[in-house]
Amino acid sequence: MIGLIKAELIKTFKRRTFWVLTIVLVLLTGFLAGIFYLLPRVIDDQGGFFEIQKPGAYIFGAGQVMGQTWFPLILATMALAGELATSAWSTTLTRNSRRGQHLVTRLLTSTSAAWLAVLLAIAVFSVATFFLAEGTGELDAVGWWDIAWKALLVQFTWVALGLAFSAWLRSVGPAIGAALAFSFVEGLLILWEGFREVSLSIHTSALLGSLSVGGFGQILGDLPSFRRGLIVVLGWSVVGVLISWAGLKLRDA
Amino acid sequence: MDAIVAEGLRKRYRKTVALDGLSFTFPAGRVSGFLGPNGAGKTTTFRSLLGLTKPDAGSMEVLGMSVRDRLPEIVKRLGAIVEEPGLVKGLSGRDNLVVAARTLGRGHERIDDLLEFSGLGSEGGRRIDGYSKGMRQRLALAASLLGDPELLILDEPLDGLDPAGQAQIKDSLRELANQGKTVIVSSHNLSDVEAMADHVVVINKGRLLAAGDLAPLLGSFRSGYTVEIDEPETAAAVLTEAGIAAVVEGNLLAVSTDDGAAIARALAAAEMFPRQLARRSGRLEELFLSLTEGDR
Repeated sequence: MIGLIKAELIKTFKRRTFWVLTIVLVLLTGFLAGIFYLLPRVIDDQGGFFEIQKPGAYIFGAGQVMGQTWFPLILATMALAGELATSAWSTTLTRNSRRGQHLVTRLLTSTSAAWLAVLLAIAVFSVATFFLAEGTGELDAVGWWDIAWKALLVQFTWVALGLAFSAWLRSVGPAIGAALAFSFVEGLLILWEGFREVSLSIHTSALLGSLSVGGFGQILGDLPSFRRGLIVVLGWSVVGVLISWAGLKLRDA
Repeated sequence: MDAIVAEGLRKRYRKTVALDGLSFTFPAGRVSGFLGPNGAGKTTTFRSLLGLTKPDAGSMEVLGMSVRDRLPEIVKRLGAIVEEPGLVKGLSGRDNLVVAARTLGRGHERIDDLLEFSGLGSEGGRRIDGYSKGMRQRLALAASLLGDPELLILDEPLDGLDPAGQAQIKDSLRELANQGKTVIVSSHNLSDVEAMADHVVVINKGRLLAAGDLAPLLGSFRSGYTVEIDEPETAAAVLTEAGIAAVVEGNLLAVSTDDGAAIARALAAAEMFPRQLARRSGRLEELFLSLTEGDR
């Protein structure tokens, strides 16, 4: 399996796709930071909605970056769907006919790649926070470690979901389209009280505590606890892995 | 031992019968051609041998091992190009071989040699997006040789290559057979197969039409006589009137009958005497067309 991981790392980091997506993510992050920190300076009356102060602003920024779920979704779907659409996947499978190892390899490599990119984007937002946010105080090492491991878990969850769409749809375009549609609809469904109990978006925010900053927490009321957030996010990652496995096994037949 | 033994293969895709009780063998240590018109079942057969498709019925043994039971062991000992090569766009030729070697779990030490073998030594650092079709085909062949396989299964390996590239690949395949490897090639270019293969299997509509060593097959395929004669057009008219089909080919007559005596009698009756009357040794293309057109 080490060989498979090394092969996937080459495919991920030596191709332009990952770097182009990362640049887009970083630029988008910079744009968001500009919106949140510079816009209030030109809008007189925003009712405290944009009062994002340090040190909570660092967590808020991390939450904004982790909310860019398109990144791990596209990365994961392109990693797998492209090979599933041709005989490359089936040929690879017969060369090393252990489907589980292939799935684990793609989970690990796509998650690692997404995590690195997200950490870079969080760093960009954090630099903007340092210079532009109101208030005082910085995060300590524990606080940064907190952000880092939560970012890893969130990326793993969305990568698993992206692989799930690839495993069933077996073509890059439809898989990306369906994955992004899912992300969009999932975000809309938080307006329905019944869905909030299992919403990945809300529980990611609960995990991070990012919506407690500024006025955004007013939108949804009380957030679930950290513990519940962790359980629900883990639950979604398990769902993604299981659907991926089922899709590969059933549609490979 | 035969490299491949297949018996009673059947495969249906909804209403389409791809394989219809196909049985054949390929001998070990030789270059064999696998021939058939479009839709004959060649690719389905290759995919079945590689475990990419499961036949509905029948058995297959590759290198003495059952495909159904021992596929992981089999694939370690064979290399293949079936349908599109499965190369990774965005990576260089060298990186493609590195990825293939990592996935295979071996072959890293052969990458440089295989790049040279495939004529891509100076292009290995370039992304394959800029490769011609022939270059990608040669890289795919190099990738199929990474594991130093005993058996090579190649679906249209000469497709897209210029004449120099084709000659290089044909020489390489013959060299691999001289090393004791078994090479099975499917191709629409029958002259190429005739030049490099010494055993053929011909199929159509998922069934076996002919199989065997090439020389005896071509020798036993009677396709008439060649007549060298003055005034071939007149001679053709004489033979046609006598009920013997004859076609002028340049300065010669191609006569479609196995009865040489009848040709001589008909021409002698018209006081025409050929300089030479010789059996036509069948070409693979003629054999192929004869078999497949007769199977329509």
